[in-house]
Amino acid sequence: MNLIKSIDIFCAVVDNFGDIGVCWRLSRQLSLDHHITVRLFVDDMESAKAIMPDDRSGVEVIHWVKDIDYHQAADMVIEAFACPLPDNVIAAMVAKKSVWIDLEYISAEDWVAGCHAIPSKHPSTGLTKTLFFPGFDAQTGGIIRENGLISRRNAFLNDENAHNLWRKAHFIPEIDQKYIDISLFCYKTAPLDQLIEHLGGADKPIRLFRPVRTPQNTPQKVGSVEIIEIPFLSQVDYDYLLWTCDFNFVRGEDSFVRAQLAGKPFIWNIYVQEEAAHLVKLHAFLEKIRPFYDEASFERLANLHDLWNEEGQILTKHSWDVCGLSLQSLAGLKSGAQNWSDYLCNQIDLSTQLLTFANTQITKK
Amino acid sequence: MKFAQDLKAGNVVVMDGAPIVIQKAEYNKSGRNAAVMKFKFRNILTGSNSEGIYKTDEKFEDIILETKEVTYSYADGDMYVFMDEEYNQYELSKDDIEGVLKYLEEQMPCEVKFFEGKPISVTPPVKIVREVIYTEPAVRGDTSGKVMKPAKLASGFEIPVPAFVEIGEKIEIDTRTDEYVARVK
Repeated sequence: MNLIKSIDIFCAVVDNFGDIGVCWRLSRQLSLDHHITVRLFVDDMESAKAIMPDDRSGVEVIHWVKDIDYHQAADMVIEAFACPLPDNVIAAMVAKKSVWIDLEYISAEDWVAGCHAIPSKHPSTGLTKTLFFPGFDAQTGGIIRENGLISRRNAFLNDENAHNLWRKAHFIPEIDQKYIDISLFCYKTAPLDQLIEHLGGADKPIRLFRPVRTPQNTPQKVGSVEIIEIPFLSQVDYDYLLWTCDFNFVRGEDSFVRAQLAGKPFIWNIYVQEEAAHLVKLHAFLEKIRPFYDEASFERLANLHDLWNEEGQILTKHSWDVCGLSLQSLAGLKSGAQNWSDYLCNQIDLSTQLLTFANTQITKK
Repeated sequence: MKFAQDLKAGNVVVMDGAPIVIQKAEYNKSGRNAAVMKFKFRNILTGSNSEGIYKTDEKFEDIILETKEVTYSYADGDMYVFMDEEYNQYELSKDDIEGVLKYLEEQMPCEVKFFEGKPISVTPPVKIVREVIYTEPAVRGDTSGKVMKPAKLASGFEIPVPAFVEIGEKIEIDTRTDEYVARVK
C-alpha cells in the first residue's frame, strides 16, 4: 500500500533544460502512473514552459519565487540536484515530518552505490534526509521509465507508417533507406564542425536532424551530409525522434537516459566539469555498458565518446575512420545498444524506487 | 559549527542533543553531483553505530573535547594501545579508530580525544609519509601528475598516485582527504 499521497519537487534551473527536464518527467510519471498529488516548484518558468506541453498531466507547476508562501508540506519533498531549500519550506517539512529526498544526478561510478538511499539524520532539523542517486543497477535508484514506454516504443519501431506520420507532423523527411538518419543534441563544447566535416566524407548520405528554437527552412549541405533544423520538441516527441533515427547524439542527463531506453546507438555529450571530473563519470558509464557490446563495437563507441567529450580533441580523418559511423559498425553498435536497453528495462524504475523507499520511512515514524 | 567537508575521523558533533563521534569519513565527488561525505558514527552515550551521507556544505555543531598527544604502542587483539609522555596507556577499540587504521604504525604520533575522561577517538597527523609497497610500473615521460594509478601501502590501503610514482618510493599523504600530496626524497 502506498502511504505517500503527495510529493513536492523543488527544481532550481542552473542552465539549459536538463534539470527541469528530469524534474518534469519525474513529476509527470508520479502523477500519471502512481496517482500522486504532485507540485513542481521551479524557479525559471520560461525554461519549464519550453519543454512542458499545455496539458500538465495533473501536476501543479508553481513558480518558485523568493520568500514563497509554503505552509503545508507534502508527504515527501524532493530537492532536485541539491538545490537549497528555504528555511520556511524546511520548517513546514519539520511540522509535517515529510520524507526528505535529495535527488542527485545519475552516475555509474562505483562509490554511488555506497552512498545511495542511506537515511541520514539531518544535523539541525532532526528530520531524516536521504541522498538518492539514479543509476544503472539494483544498488542505485534506477532511471525514469514510464509505464508502457517500451511497448509504445516497440509498436512505433515496427510501424514505418507511424514513423512517417510522426515525421511529417514535425517537418522531418520521410524514412528513406538510402540515408543514415542522425539526431543531434550537444553542448557548444562538442567538436561539431569537425564531426560534420568528417560525416561529409562518409560512404552513405547522412541526414542530421537538429532540434532548435528557431529552425531555418533551408537544409544546409556539407558533402554527403544534410543538416536539417527542426522545431524544438516536447519530451514525448523527443522520444519519437530518438526512436526514428539510426543514431543519436545526446547530452546532459534527460536525453542521455532516453537515448538508452530508445535502444538505438548513441553518443553522450557530458556536461563539462572542473578538473575533468566529467570524464571520470563518462568512463564509468562506458565501463558499465562494455559487457553489452562486442569488443570492436565497444572500442569504436568508447573512442568516439572520448573524441566528442575531451575539449581540444581533433576528430581527424583517421580517428573518424577508426570510430566511424560506417554501416558495418552501426550493426554492432545497434545490437549493443539494444542489449543495454533490454537490461535497463529489467531494473526497477526511479519513481517506483522512490515511493518504495519513502513508504519504508513513513512506516518507521 | 563545522562544514561536513572539514570533519574527519575523531571529531565529535552533536546530533539530536547527543554527542556523536565520527569513526570514519569518506569524501566523494563526481561530475555535476554535489560533493558528499560519508560518515560512520558512534553515539558516545549509547554506543550505537550509524552512518550518514551529507553534502559537504552541511553544517554540524562540533564539540571541543579534551585532547592528549600520544604515540601508538601496540595492538592487543581488537584493542589498540596508545601512550602519552608520562607512560599512561589508553586503549581504544578497532571501531573507535577505524578511520586511522590504514595509517597506523608503531610510534606514530596521534591525538587522543576524551569524553568525560574516557578515550573515544584518535586523530592522525594531517600529513604523513608512507612507502609504496606495490604499484604498476611507472609510465615513462608522464610527469604531469594528471594520470593516476592505485598504489598499495604496507597497511594494505590503496591510494591513487600519479603515474610516475614507483615501488619503494615514499609519498606524503593528506590524512584528511586520503589524497597523495607529493613524493618525498
